[in-house]
Amino acid sequence: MEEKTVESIVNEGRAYACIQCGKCTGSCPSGRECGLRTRKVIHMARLGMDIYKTEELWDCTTCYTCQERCPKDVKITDIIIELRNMAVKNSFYPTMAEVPKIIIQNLYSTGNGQPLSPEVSKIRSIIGLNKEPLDASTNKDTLKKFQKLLDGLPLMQWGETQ
Amino acid sequence: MKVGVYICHCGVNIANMVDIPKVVEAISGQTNVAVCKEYQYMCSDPGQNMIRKDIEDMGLDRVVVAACSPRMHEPTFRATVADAGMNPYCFEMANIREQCSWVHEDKEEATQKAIDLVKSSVARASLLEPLQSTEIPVTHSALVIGGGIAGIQAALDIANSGFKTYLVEKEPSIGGRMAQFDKTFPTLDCAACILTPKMVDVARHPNIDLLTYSEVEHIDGSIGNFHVQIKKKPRYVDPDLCTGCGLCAEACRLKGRISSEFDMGIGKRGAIYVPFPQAVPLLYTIDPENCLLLKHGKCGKSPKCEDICDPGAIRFDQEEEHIDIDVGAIVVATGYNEFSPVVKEEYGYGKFKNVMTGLELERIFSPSGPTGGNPIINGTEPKNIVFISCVGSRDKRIGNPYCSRVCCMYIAKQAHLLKEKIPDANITVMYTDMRAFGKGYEEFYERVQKEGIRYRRGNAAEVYEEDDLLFVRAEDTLLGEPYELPADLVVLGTGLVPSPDADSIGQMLHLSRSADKFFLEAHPKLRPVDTVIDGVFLAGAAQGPKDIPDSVAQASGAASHVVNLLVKEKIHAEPIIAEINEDACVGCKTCIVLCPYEAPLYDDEKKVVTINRAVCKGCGSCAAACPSGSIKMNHFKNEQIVAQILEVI
Amino acid sequence: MKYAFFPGCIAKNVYPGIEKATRLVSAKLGIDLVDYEYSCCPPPGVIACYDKDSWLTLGARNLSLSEKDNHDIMTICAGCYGTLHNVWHTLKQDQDKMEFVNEHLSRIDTEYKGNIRPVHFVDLLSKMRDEIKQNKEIDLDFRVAVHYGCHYLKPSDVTGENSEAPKILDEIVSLLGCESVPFKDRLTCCGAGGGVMSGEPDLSLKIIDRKLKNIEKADVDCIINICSFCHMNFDQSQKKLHAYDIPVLHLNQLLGLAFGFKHKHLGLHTNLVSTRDIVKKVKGAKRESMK
Repeated sequence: MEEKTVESIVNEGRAYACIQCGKCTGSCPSGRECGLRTRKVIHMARLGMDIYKTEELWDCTTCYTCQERCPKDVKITDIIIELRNMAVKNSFYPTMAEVPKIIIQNLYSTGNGQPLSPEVSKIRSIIGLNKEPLDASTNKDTLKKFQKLLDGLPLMQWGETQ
Repeated sequence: MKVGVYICHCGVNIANMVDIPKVVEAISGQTNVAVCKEYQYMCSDPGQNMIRKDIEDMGLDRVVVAACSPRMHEPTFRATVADAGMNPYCFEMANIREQCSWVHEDKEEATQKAIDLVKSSVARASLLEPLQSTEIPVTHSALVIGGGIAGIQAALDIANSGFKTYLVEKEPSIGGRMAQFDKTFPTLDCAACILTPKMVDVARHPNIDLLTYSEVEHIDGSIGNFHVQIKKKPRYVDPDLCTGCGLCAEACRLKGRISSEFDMGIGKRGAIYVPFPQAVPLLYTIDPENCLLLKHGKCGKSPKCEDICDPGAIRFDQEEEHIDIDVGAIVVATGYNEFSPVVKEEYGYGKFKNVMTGLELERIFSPSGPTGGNPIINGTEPKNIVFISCVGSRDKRIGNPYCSRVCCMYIAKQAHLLKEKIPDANITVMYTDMRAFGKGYEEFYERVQKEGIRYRRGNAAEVYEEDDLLFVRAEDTLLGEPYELPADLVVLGTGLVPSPDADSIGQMLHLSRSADKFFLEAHPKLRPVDTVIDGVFLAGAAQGPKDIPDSVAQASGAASHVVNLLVKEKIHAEPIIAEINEDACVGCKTCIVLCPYEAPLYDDEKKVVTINRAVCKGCGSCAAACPSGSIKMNHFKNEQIVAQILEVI
Repeated sequence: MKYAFFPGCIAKNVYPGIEKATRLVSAKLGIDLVDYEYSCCPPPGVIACYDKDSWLTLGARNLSLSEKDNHDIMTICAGCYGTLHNVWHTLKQDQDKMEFVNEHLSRIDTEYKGNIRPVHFVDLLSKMRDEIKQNKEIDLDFRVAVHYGCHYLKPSDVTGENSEAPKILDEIVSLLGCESVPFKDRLTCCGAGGGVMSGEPDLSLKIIDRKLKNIEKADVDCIINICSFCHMNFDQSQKKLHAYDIPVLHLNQLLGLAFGFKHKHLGLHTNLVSTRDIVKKVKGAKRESMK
């Protein structure tokens, strides 16, 4: 697969069709509380600016309301996700991307983004569930294979460059 | 056989990408080629003269011009060769511009392709046969479908030129959308004041046969000779006896209980009604869907309308009539509908009672409307009003990617009228881009801003309700800030969509539609009122969203094309049509199924198909599909096409 | 009816009451649940935002597990559903991505073919209205605020849902006797997604604060959701904000109550926001129905 550029992301997500009507920003639940201006993100991407370097990109909750309502059918949320991928690839980790890194570490060591704590394990058995659920971490061989899969994926490479 | 070949440079359009001397060199000396020349602009006078002179001097019997698309200049060159005495159907055109120089980037390859295309045209030209066009007499009358402002204007123009004109309107009155408007932008003329006199002119015109409450059922025939069947729906009222006094409507048991289509459902009417006071013709109509007698067979002891009508005009036994007419030309003026914003659920239309459409507000403004022109929305005078532009326009998600052209200005007009009626109202227009392109429009836009209407750039995101008050969310894109406004009235600047009647009329006339579903004109620049069907013309919003001046202009244009046709006694019929060898036909009817124009007809006696020459458009579908090979397409016979193909493979 | 059961990290490891409720309710409705060695879905907002191709691959691994048994995969969280459904949809259409995914899966001797479909439990429920009515033992007379979860609804060209006016959840709670109370901005995001809850907790809290304020105004007995991730956000944020007191129930826990299961078996007592009032109301309704 070819390396993505801001230009290819703009084309794939049809951002060239944007008429800057702002319906996206007006619909954004996050933008009401912070500096994210979805319309501006799309405009900057269209102009070929390094939008992936801005921190606002990480204010999006990926709720898809903007994309849903865009009269020009611009794939706005998909574009934001691609731009985040690009930021990560170029090592532009904003401070708020630190915590998700822990989720990746959890994923690697337990197969779960949210691992099981001893407290919840106890609750599980109290309410009549297996103390530990069957999942990718139950069986050592399965976990090893899962980690082998992760080891070869781009996700882990970016984790290391940071 | 002597073929003359002429290669056009088209300025630099062709010459920049095709090595023309090389093409000339390759073509000269080919079989049958008597001469091959090049010129800067073959379509210019000197270019055409070159061809004429060679025909006369060298006795050429076939001519090939390699230039642009035949759509553009084939008629030009056919006339040129005919001038010099050659049969125009022995002319052939090779397209080395649109299909070659404009679409390629490698000059060497483009040159080779041009050579192949010209060779291919020479091969075809050598097999072309002279054809003779036939003459068809013209019926000197016209049909106009749709009685809105465009149809009215077209009918009046044609009738004023002395030709019989049938104006068919499906509603009980003519007037169309314009009759629903209060004032018109940007001059603020009262719509009724300028429209009503024209409606009356139509009714009184000796050359106009006005068929209201009528629908076109069937059309066949072709340019000069269309046969049309019209269904006249029963009004259940005798038009000769009804005086339009209105006592029946006052008496109707259902008075004020049926929502009025003309008032966009805001006002009410009875089962017997006229849509609006200035209706033309001023005849009452009984709505069979609601009338107690017609629907349930019983209306009290006796129908009150019948009791009160002194002239005895009520006719419950009236039946629908079918009228056959012959016309030489047809104007399609089926107009538009307002986009229904129900699908834009984020704006809450149909859910919140104080969200309404532009056309609904128009009825509120109208002195003859449901509130007598007072700006009362659901019982109160609104103080905080938000207009939302582009609802159903420039919107790919709902399949209307086009700009509806009138909304920016009708919003400006409505904002102005509201401000005039409610001076202390806060009025905000949330717009995407301001399009004030017509005469006086930009000035009007400035005027309403001066009056205190606030324009904020940015399309509204959503409307929500809290404690019985509406709120509109948007981003002010110039400030780059999201904001919310409270509103007791939200007006949706709904766009225009084709009238649903366009479907049936379009099918009957075999008209094409553009991607926006409006009727497609023959050429977007140079033939905006013609259709690809000869003798059928377009007027008004049926062809695309238009304001009143543009609709009227196009209607007059369509009328002048109709008149140009009707003044002729005879017209020439294109000889490039299908011909059938009845001896070989096995009567399988494959062609009948395929033909979009109903040209092949099955002869029950002979058990074979015949082709109606007047209707055939020469599309070739039948000839290509005929299993027995009995159908030949003139000018595109198999051997002509095969020769052309063999040269390029 | 057999489904591969994808509980998701939160229902397994944070709110096991949701997993338990699902197992109890499914058994009542005649749905057999089969467990597999699933990993995290992985989350659409976090992992997809880091590397979309890796997200596709890990999602495809999960999808591939029940393929050999030909069981469709059932989720109970809008986030897991969003991921698995989107992965399924993307790989169905994009041959290049499919090749990428299988190239990596082949390293662990796995292949994804695309033969099974991901479904959300609520979609199964919408086709089992009669069974729900038959199994209902208690009429729950609750006023509820429903929350769909963004990734169950959107993007609608992938999910096929009406994102501006969905009905399924409202209809199902009304089958149980509850009233779905309208409230301002009922369809907006809870603020948890996109890595915002973990990466920018203050922003996330501002978003859910607004949402909770609107719900509080609607005067409801509880919040009903079909997303374990939103569930966690609703429950935990009320504590973080030191405000509100609105019990949070996953739809499956509500079904469990209506089907007559004890609240402790449904894990209601493990929520941060007390569910005591709900439980009291259920007991009252139970006495009513026994009369």
